[in-house]
Amino acid sequence: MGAHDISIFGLIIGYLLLLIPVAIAWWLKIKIIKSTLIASLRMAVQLVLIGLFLEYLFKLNNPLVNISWLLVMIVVASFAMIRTSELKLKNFLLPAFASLSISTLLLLFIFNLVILDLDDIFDAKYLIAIGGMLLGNSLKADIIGATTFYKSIRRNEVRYHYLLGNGATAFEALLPHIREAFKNALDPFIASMATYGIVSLPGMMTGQILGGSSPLLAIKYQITIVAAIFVVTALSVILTILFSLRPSFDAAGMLNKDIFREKKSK
Amino acid sequence: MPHLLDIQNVHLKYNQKEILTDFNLSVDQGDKILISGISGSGKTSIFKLILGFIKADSGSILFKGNKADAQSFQRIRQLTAYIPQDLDFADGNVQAFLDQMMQIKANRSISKPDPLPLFREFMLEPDILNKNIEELSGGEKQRLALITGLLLQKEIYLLDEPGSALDHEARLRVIAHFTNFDKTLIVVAHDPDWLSISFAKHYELKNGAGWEHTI
Repeated sequence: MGAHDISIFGLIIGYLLLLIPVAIAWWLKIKIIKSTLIASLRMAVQLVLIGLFLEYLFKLNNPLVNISWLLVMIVVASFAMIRTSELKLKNFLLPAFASLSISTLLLLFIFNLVILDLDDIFDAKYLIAIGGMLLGNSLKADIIGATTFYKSIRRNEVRYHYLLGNGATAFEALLPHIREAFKNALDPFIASMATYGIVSLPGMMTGQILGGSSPLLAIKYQITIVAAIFVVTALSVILTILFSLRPSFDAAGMLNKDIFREKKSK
Repeated sequence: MPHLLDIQNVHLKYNQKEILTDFNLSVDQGDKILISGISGSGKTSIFKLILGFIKADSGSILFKGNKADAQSFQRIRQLTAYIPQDLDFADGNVQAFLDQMMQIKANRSISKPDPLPLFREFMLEPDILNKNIEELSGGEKQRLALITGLLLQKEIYLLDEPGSALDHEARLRVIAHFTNFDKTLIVVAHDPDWLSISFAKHYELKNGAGWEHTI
């Protein structure tokens, strides 16, 4: 058993469907046509290459190679995360990498060893596929978390100074901003978690059902993976903020203003 | 005996403009100091220097005779009650805000005081405790900041334009409270009402330099 194959013709039709949003954008005169075309081309090329690469990787299934590839994924995710935020790579790449590594690896370990009880926890199928889901799904929240946090301090400098000037340590004065950032980062996930199953059939479940698994098995996977994604998200959001404090503040607790990258306005 | 705080030969530029030129100020325990001058003359910067929020371009800040580093700024901040001129100093419920200020580690040792006598003295309605800070008027916020500072029972009071949002009567009440004040008090104000307090030192900022008046 397995999913029904997609013919080349079907694939081309599927890809050409993208012309519908492009047409709408053209009609509304919104300048996203170029970026849509570039993004969809990148998507297609990356996926084809990664498909070929994963075929090879899964056949090889060498623990060391699998771990290395996972680390490459984490590095790319860290770059993507900082690039999308308005923060400078120089200050944030290392904190982002450290927090994504710790949270993803920890959860992968628990997932593969305890929840799935695999004989080989480095099996590419699980390590890379599950690792990718954990990373990909926590990235958006990490970006919201870090960006909200630093913008909130910059915007509310008076409040930050007020707390410091009345005896708070830098960490105490930062806590309200950490709370706000953490909440803002997790809110979208919590909202979408509540609609799973009815409004949205999450991708993993759809994939498993198409691949021939019973819906019940798919649901068991889905529940545990959603929980794992939530934990990775929460951990990586808070760790990214905590790890980035040192390079972003001076010893007197003052925000280093040149951590922000001025976004080019279109 | 070294001074509690010492600002020595400080030069400070802001947006290319020199706002403090060779500025000197020494503060002893229990001093009452008034710093006046037109707006934009660098008055607020003096507090920011003392609290370590900004760094002088040259010159030094001494705390008890030692050049202030990050740790001494932390120590200074534990001793200060800072009432900023900008009234966007907090948000949320007033009572929760007061509790939060008492919860700060450096402030936990003080016994939880009753804010209502100060509310009455500064002519604030007690039902403000249940309101959100965003709903308060400028004058109410300013008095709330002053009351909070007083409840914290600090050693050094840094008041930045403390009557600017108040009507005349409320301002006189505030000034009266600080008239027989036994803590170290530094007031930045351009308003002559404050001259009724007998300040030990009065600095007037003109063109960046501090001119000491003897009163």
